[in-house]
Amino acid sequence: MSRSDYDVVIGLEIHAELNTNTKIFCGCPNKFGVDPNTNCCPVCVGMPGALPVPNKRAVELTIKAGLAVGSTINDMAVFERKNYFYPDLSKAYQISQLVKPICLGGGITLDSGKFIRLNRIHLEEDAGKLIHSFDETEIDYNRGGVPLIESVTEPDISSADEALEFLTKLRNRFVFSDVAKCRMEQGGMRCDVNLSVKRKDSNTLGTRTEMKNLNSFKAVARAIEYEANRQMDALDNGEVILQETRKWDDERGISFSLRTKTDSQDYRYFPDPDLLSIRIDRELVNKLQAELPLSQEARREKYEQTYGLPGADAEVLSNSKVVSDFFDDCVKLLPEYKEVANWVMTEILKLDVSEEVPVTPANLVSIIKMMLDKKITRQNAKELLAKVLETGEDAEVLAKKMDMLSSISDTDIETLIDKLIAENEKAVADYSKTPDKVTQFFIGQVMRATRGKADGSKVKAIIESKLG
Amino acid sequence: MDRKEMTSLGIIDTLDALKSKKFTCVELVEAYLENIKQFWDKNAVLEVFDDVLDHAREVDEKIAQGKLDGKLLGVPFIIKDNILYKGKRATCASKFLEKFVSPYNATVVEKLLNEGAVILGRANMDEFAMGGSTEKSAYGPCKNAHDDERVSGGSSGGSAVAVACNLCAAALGTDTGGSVRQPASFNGVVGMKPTYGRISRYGVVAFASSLDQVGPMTKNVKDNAYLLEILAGADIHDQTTRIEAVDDYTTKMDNVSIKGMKIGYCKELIDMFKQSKDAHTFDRAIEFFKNNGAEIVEVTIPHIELALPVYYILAPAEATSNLGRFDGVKYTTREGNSSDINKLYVESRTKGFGKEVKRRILLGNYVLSSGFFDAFYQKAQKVQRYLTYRFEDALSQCDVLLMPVAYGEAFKIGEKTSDPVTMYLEDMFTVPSNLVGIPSLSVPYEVGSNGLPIGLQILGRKLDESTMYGVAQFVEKNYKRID
Amino acid sequence: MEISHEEIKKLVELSALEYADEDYDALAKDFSQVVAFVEQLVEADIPEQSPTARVVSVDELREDEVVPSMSQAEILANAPEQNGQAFVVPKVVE
Repeated sequence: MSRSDYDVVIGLEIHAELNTNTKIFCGCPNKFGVDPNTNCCPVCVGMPGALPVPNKRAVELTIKAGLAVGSTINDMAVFERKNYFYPDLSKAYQISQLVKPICLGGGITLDSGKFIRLNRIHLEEDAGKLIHSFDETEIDYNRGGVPLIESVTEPDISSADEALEFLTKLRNRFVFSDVAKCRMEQGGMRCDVNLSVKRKDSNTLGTRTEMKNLNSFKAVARAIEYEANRQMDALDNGEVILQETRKWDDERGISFSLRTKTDSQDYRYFPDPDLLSIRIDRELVNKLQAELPLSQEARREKYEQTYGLPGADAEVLSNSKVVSDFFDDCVKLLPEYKEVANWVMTEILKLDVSEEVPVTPANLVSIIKMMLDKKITRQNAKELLAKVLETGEDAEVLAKKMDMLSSISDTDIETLIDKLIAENEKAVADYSKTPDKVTQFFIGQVMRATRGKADGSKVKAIIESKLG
Repeated sequence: MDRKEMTSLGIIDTLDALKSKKFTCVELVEAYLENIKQFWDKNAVLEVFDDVLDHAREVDEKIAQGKLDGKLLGVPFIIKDNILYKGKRATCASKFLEKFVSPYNATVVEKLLNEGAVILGRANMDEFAMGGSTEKSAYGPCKNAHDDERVSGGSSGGSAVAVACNLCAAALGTDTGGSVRQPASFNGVVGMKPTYGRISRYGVVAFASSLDQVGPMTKNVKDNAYLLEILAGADIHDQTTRIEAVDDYTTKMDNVSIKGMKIGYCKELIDMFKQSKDAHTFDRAIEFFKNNGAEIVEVTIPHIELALPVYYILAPAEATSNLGRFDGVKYTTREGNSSDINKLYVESRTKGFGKEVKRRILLGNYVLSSGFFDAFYQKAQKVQRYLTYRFEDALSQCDVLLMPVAYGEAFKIGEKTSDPVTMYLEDMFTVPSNLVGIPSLSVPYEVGSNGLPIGLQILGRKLDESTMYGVAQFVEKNYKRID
Repeated sequence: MEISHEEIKKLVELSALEYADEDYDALAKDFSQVVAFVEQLVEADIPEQSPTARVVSVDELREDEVVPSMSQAEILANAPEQNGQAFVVPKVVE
């Protein structure tokens, strides 16, 4: 049979680490990249007698995540224990949510108009990290207890492209709501894929497999392609698809079976008796909804509709939360939308803005303002920005130090030009033949005499009016 | 004051004696250490800490300097072996944890130390608090304070015997289904399980988290109330602690008047108690209160007989999960030299846990496993809710409820170990207050046919420990046995 | 109710425990007794009641403020095997 005879049915489970200062059940820092087992306390390592104490912000961020994707927020949330033995799980159970998660439903519309439904978003604790060497495994519990939200989609996705678009949009929703940073390369966002294929002429769903260890968007797309093809090939050959968990090997570009359903775990979920049920009041949900920063889509629309920027600019400026926040802060100080947008797009975007913009909005705005007020030239403004980036000093102070500020009045320029005309008879005589060249010559002379502080366009106008 | 006299004092009397310099703390601690040595064969104490005399000397210095601010300054304690004391071993009477040294203090230990208590050592118990006789300790059974042939009760048997034999001024136990009250009854001391959440569980090795409470074990009722005032209160480390202000129990209990008080008993439970050969003891208690002007109210608690099956579903379910962390990787001994992590878990846990603990782990997994969860765990929770309302009804008809603690006096060592269900039935009278979260205590009042102590159980309304203490104090002061 | 060896084996596995083959008869007998005891509950006809569990509002939860962690040495002190940085177990293969 051909590929077009099959439908691919995909559901995603996406884990994202929340933007909190502390872990979900203790006051240890939620921080990446420190020495093993140094961000730990009795709670993180499941010491006897230790008890979990839930983090308010983790719950609030989960609610915000739900609001960002249109979920219904449950009025009661319950933590449950998911029991299994694995060395990265210090207590032999993970505190998660099953029956009463914080968020239910919601979803994201793709550009095609197709709506991908979310089943739920729940809050849980991350596990520790295993570091494998030649003959042993080390356990580092620093990541143990980092707050995670797990977003589970309905099986509405039918291709790798749709999966990628959904993931990108979901990540942007979370990032733009300040819920999570979603850095896949640090394990801050992880994705499992559930996939089955179904013959188009059949009503019965195929057997699904679950794929783990997908550490980049690219890996997700590749793994989906691989798994869909593998299943269709198998069906074509009359083989049976096993319900199993598979691990993706990104280097080799293949997945292999980890375990089949028959030896799968019975997690024996039950409500965690160490934790009280959490009541989520409507007032809180409304308050968090009001606090929710604008989404990426809303920002693009605002830039285009309200600020009157070209669509391409709006797209670029709203591409990253860091840049968009920076732009918003700048135009709050100086509502010259197009000018500020140009500066951000040409000067700021060539910097490393993955974490933050290395100049303050106030400093950039002050540079642009000096330029618009003709206190400095455009060329000097760019030099000034470079110096601000280098030193971190205040732009105006620097401008003074660098003797950039123009102290030449229009009459001074006129006097200077009169003097230059008197001194250069030949050039004046040539004006009727090569006006541009002569104008350029005089501008150069003025700039040299004023050390670049004169406004070129103004100089040009005066020269033309005198000689023309 | 001689050793016998010194060590017979309770908390409040000890404080007075130390402050009025009748003896020094070093003398007192030495006297207790001597008693511990004398009663070593009871197997009540698993370890005497090596720094106790240093602490005693510090206390004496403070007293010499007139710094008398600790509410337990110089009072010697023994704590159950499942309560963590920084730098000290805590084994839960299990071989599995024999090397575990706690890197932090339980909140209750922190409170004792802050008030100047001297913690002498740790007390024997049933392994991981699973049992009602302290026969299931990996370090051997603890014998009854009054009869070496008989059990101490459990699981806080060591703590009860330590108080009864004057090995300390007071002790801490833990109570999940009667583990403080039943050994208190068997050894003739006062043992109390507070309202669930009244005392922090932080740093107490969990058995069944929704039922566990630390309980004071003392030589008299007033000491018990005094100690609860110190131990009780909200704890940022334990979300299940109650935030309500701690009562002034010691004052309030003195204002309790029996005259006109409504004292209830549960008909269904007393019918069960009639099979005991000590059944008459309860009738006498009722008679006693009637004679002292109380109004006796018979209440009915339908389905109270289900309390035990509910308990033996919920407690093992939680225990199974709580004990998963003991796996040969972080805190326990490791067995075998397998290169396979799963084998390492299995070998370590199989060797590390005792028989009863393993039985309950299996039972917990049985009731939690898919296919059985609804029938067992969910149903147990439903019945628990039902019983909670029935007890609320009952305690709206009376001020306190009276109950036996156990079927009678302490039984013989080995008598009930063969059949688990017979052993479980022992908990019939103590389990309900854990399931519904209300306070209950055992106060000594009678002796059984073998001349061993029997306690009376008094159950109060949620957070109303004061009334319960008042009634218990009245029994302690006025009850006269007819021998 | 009789509990089969097969069922008990599954529970033993879930529990990360091990019993010798010859122990299974005694274990099954013992276990059947205990299960029969708790099974009286299954048949009991009990009316549903509103929840009794205590609840807490989001506002009452812990503030997101860092408190000092424990030292690495204290975290690892009780481990049967560690290397000064981490807990060590035999190589884990997925």
